[in-house]
Amino acid sequence: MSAVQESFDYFFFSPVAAVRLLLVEKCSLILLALDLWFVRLGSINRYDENELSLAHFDWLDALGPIPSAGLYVCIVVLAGVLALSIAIANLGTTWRLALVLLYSYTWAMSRLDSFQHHYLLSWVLLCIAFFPHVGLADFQQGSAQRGRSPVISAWAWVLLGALAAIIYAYTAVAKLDPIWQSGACIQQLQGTATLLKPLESAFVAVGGVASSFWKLVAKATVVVELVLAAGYLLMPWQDRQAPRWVGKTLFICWLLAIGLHSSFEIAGLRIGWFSYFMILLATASFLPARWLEKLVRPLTLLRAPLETSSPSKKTWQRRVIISTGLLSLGALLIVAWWSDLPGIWPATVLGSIGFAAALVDLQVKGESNSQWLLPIVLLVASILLAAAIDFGEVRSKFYPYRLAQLQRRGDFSRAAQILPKAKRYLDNEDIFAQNNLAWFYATIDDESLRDGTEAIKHAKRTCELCEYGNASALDSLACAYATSGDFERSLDTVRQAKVLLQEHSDSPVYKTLLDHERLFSTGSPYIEKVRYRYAGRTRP
Amino acid sequence: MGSRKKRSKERSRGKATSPASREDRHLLNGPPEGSQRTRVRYFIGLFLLVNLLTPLKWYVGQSVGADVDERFCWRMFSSDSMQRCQVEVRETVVDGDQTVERLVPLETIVPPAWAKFLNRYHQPALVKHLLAEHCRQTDALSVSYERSGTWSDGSSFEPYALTIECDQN
Repeated sequence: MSAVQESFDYFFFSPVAAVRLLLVEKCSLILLALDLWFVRLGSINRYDENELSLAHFDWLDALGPIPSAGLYVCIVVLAGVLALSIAIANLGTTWRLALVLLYSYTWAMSRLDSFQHHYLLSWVLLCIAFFPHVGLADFQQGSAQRGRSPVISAWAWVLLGALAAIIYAYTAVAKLDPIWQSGACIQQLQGTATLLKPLESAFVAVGGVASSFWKLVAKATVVVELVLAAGYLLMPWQDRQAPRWVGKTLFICWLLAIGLHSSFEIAGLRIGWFSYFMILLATASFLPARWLEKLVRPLTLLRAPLETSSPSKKTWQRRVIISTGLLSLGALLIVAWWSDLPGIWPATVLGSIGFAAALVDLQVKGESNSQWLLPIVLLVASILLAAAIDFGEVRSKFYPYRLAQLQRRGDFSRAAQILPKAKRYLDNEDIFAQNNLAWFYATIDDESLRDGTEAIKHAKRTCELCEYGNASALDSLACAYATSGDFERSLDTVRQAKVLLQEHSDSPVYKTLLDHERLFSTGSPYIEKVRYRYAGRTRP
Repeated sequence: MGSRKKRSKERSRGKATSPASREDRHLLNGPPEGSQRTRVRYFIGLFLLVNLLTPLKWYVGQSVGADVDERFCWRMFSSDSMQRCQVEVRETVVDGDQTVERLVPLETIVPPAWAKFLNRYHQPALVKHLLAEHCRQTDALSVSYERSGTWSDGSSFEPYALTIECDQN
């Protein structure tokens, strides 16, 4: 064996602390399910089968179905259920690879989702798919190996560290250009957040120049990212025969990772839950294994009720599996009916089939403890999904916006179908949704759907929410008055809107106001013609 | 006392080991052996190669002046992704007996989500698709796209422009 191969094998195949795998696998999969349901489900109004569509890969455009809200909901719900099932019921590699595909499709189906951390998570899931099995039982107090740290040869874990190193290195390289190094980008990123303001003030107070401070922060970010890249390459050694400085260095890396990713959150960057994933990875990678084991050991108590040995206990367990299974399926059906979202019924049917297949798979493999857990996972998933739809206001974000899309496209029959839902789920505090409904009732090019009274009601609410300080909202109100035949008020309102924009008289909104003023003065309401030139779907 | 001194000496030389490397651990699972190990080696090599080379395409593309976008290149929060931009689409059409160029409001071509997206990201493939679609759906003779704006420091960047002659589609 050559020296290179020997080093390669030592790096990837020598044992690492098993607790690291357990933490990353369980926590990141649970986090992923919550992220999918509580954050990403809210993006369904981006997907419409009748509009422009371009996938991240040409072959996906050629082979895949046209992205739609229903397809998106179905895939997101299924990926979440699968992630929870793998995390809690320890489903095998085939299921994990299925999750990689399902999850990857949630972002790859459309370039509208260009968040690079979604792409990163696909690689992370691929690594997790090849993690060797580590269970809570391996850390149980009183086991034969009591007091001894479980270690395991886990090339996929080391590979995950190498992936993190590559990403940090590239993100550092991306910041080497003069614009970033000038500190302007980091000032822009900071936005209105005041995280670094006290430090900037202190820097200026000791005689520094503010611009030098931002240059320093920009350079420091690059250094931190390079140190983290090195830390992830060093990480596998801490569980082997490593000098003490390795542990100390990695602890510093952990502090840097926490600092870097916490600052992203404090600065309010719109990056979803990416920071939490990276903080989790840094914690599992850089902290000493014995600290992590202390975190995990109390959880082993949860395993006690699952232990089965006697035949009577097994019979009892089977009954519990069947009854909780039926209860879970019932809960899933109720959530599907209640949620009233496109794609939820296909997800329920496919989820139920998958649930049955997973039960059979676990039965064949003789993993009765995991079988016991699966119905509970489904029950928890149903409750979490309902909570995500309700707290995430998914329906109130979806229907009023879909109504506006259908109006722009001139699809009035479908608009009429979803109008009751748009009203039912309308959020009284959502300015844009209220404005969409006002605009729809006031300007729709279908007399049977136009309703001046409703238009005035929603337009007034929109204006209240923005304290009569938004010209577009006032324009909607003016259109609503015109639709109900009150042209005197519509002219007053449109002039009120013009006053708000008098310093921006070259803006498109001001020009629209002038057009509307001319129209209302002739006694005609504004009716919106189909705005899209492209009716019907477009794709390469 | 002597052994303490020895330990401290070892530590200073970097010979002492971390707790997990002592004999207080038990191995749950060994490394793959035989042909399985070979397969794993190939998989690791391929995985690393893909992850090292994919982001490079942006740097290589930039250096040769090709149209490249930042997807899959780990350029989150790069100076490019923080540009402040505006996008203009213009079409040339026959109006009576003359040809005129006119502005096409972006919101009449694409849904708001895509309009916002085009303002934010530089994606040549998407632009080409959009312009080709415009040609297919209208009687335009040609259609052009321009994305201009400023860097974070306020200086202007070189606009990106693309024109498609519709009869070629």
